[in-house]
Amino acid sequence: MSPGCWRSLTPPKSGSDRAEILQCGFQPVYQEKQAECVTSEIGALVASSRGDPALQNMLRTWVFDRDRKGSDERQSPWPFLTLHVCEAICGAWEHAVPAATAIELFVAAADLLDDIEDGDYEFLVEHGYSIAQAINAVAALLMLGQEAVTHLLDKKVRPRTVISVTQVLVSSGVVACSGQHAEFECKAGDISEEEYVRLVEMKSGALTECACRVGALLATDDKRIISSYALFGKKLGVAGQLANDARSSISSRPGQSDIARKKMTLPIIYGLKQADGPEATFLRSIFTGPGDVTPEMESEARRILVALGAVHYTLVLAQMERQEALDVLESSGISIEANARLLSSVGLDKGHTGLG
Amino acid sequence: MSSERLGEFIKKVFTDGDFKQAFLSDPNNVMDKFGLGKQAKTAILSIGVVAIAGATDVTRVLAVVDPTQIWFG
Repeated sequence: MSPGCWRSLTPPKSGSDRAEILQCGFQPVYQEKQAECVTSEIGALVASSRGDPALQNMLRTWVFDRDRKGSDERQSPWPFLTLHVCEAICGAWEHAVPAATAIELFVAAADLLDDIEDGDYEFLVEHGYSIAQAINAVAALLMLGQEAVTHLLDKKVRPRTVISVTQVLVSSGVVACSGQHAEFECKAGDISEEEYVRLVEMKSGALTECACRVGALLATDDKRIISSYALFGKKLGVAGQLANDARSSISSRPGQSDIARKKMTLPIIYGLKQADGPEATFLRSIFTGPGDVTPEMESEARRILVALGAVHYTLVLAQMERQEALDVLESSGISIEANARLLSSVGLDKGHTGLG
Repeated sequence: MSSERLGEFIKKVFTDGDFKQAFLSDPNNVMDKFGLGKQAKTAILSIGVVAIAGATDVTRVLAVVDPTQIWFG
């Protein structure tokens, strides 16, 4: 694969390495083929657009490199979700590549917006882009995503289905924007757990639901099956976001954590609710008071949250969502065997067991 | 997602030593008496009682609940 390719998993060097990667839920060889299809589709879309080469270069850099920000080798999971769902239902995925490409571009646009909204300018600084250029790139990514959907017609997908895919992308995008908007309006320290979970469903849940619904739409006309996979995706997205909240509450870089940013997430909402006495006063002073959070305050807040079980509480709720996702899939009428690749790719296969 | 009772339960496990020991000794009985729902009980048991009692490195618990770590963040 070419340098800068979006799919950057290094082929394992030994059998044990491969086993380890498979145990982690990745399927390098199989997904590499799918990844190459999507990468090729994105490259062709960008190249054939009438955009300025500088913009094209920025789009390629962002879409292909953004998953390496954390220095690990993880990849964007989004296109695979669409392709695996499609394949699980109808046994084929190649015709869904344009839709998977649209999902990837759609999420790439959302990721860039997230960075701007969070004040995370690492990518922009590294590559010398301005915020205005980033906003402009978001618009271009969304439009290329729309164009990608039209390529479904080249795959002999029925026009009616292409329209349905477009509608799902648009409506999911609006739901995600609504969730983001509502989050901006929330005052720090003044959001209930129920409200927070609803926001997660609208933001993270809407994107994973969209990816799965689109994959199902391209595989069947059975509304019950399509709804099942959409709900599976929603549950998966909520579980993923809650797990991310838990991880962020214990392991983010100092100054970059949700605590430092006074960002309300489930562990923090739980901590504010469950803490008593001086610890409650301290947490409230951080999340509802003025001023920056010092590293010492961040460390103490983290200690309190861990001691109250905030991380574990959040993980139990995430696990409940994962179980519900599995239940939904089992009731879809599609066999677990057919869903094996999908389940493995998202870590819901039998290889992942508890700690006893 | 009904979580009020679950929140109280987790807090008690983490802040009440006797309760934690009882949970480790007889998890099903303790969860039943506390009134946890079936979903919460299944989730706790699937992650692992010892892990939920905070006696396991939390990063290992994360690896169970989010093995791929691929979605957000």
